[in-house]
Amino acid sequence: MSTKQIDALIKCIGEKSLLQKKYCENFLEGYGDTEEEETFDALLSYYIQQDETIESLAQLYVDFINDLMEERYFFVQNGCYRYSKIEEVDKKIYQNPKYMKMYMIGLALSTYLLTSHREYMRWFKLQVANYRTGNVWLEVGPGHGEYFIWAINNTDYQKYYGIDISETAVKMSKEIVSAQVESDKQVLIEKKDFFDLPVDVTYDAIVVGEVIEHVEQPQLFLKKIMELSNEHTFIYITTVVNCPQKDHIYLFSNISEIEQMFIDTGLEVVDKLYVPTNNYSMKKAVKKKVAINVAYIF
Amino acid sequence: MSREEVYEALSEVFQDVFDDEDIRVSDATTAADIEDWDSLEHINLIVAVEKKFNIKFNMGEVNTFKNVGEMVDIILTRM
Repeated sequence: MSTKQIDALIKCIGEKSLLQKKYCENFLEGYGDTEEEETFDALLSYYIQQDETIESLAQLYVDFINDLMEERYFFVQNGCYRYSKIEEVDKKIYQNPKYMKMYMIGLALSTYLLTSHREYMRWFKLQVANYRTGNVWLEVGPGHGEYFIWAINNTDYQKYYGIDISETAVKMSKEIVSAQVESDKQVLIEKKDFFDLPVDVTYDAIVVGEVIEHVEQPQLFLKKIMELSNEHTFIYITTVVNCPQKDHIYLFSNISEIEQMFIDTGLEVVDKLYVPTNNYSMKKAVKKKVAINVAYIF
Repeated sequence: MSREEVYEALSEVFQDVFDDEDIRVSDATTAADIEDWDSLEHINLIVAVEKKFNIKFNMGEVNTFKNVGEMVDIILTRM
């Protein structure tokens, strides 16, 4: 199943990139969820209302994928991510509106176009079913807003709070959330460093999706998460092994490394999901040192 | 090196990267012809080809090869 907009986007992507054409032709085989299709279509409609076209969206997505491939090339040659310091990526990426636009839109589209990201989202929705109410829902780096918007529209917290260190990301998040949130729930998105959050306040949900690979010391980040949570907090963390991306600065080389960090911090895993990229088996993903997406509930 | 010799060497690279001794590439070969040839293997392939022929592609070329023929054209000009 798909809509005309989704079909047009996939066709346009395929015209721009032979490798993506092949991937996208198989894309619809894994698709069958009406709600996902509607949400994807709504996302495309939002961007088109913001003066994008199917063609420009397809180009942004292909640029996003090509950017990943460039970083993969560096990774294969050097065995490490290109940058390892936040100051290296801050100016080049987070304070660069043109790059951030490509990045945010590319990531948003990948929520539906990349099978691993789709699996993440599906699992997230299943997990949240057990944590539908609470006081404050905190998301660190809501970015393209797809998780934040879904949470606002499908749960019942008193307040939804999103923070990001990028001014551009905050602006984009605010715009898309106000366009796609159906209710008058209390929502605040602001530029703020996670480490500046006071620890005398705890949150009933803390969502940290694809963040800890963007920081220099993930263990300090995890420690802060512990400080901000109480015994009932729904903590959802995702990260990735061997995934070169321009602003990935902490390389997790294997899953054990990540899980040891949780143990060292005192975070107890309640449930987890491993999704190797491109539908690879875990064995192939480990052998080829390609991205393995991992998600955890604590 | 002649074009035929490049293809002989290139086929060996493809066989190694995709772990398939039966692969033989030609001008018209594309990712659609080799099941495992995706964006990730594409990078592994590029790195292996660069090493085999002691050349460097730029990222613009890497992302826009239409077929193996275009790759070979560049290999021949860079050697």
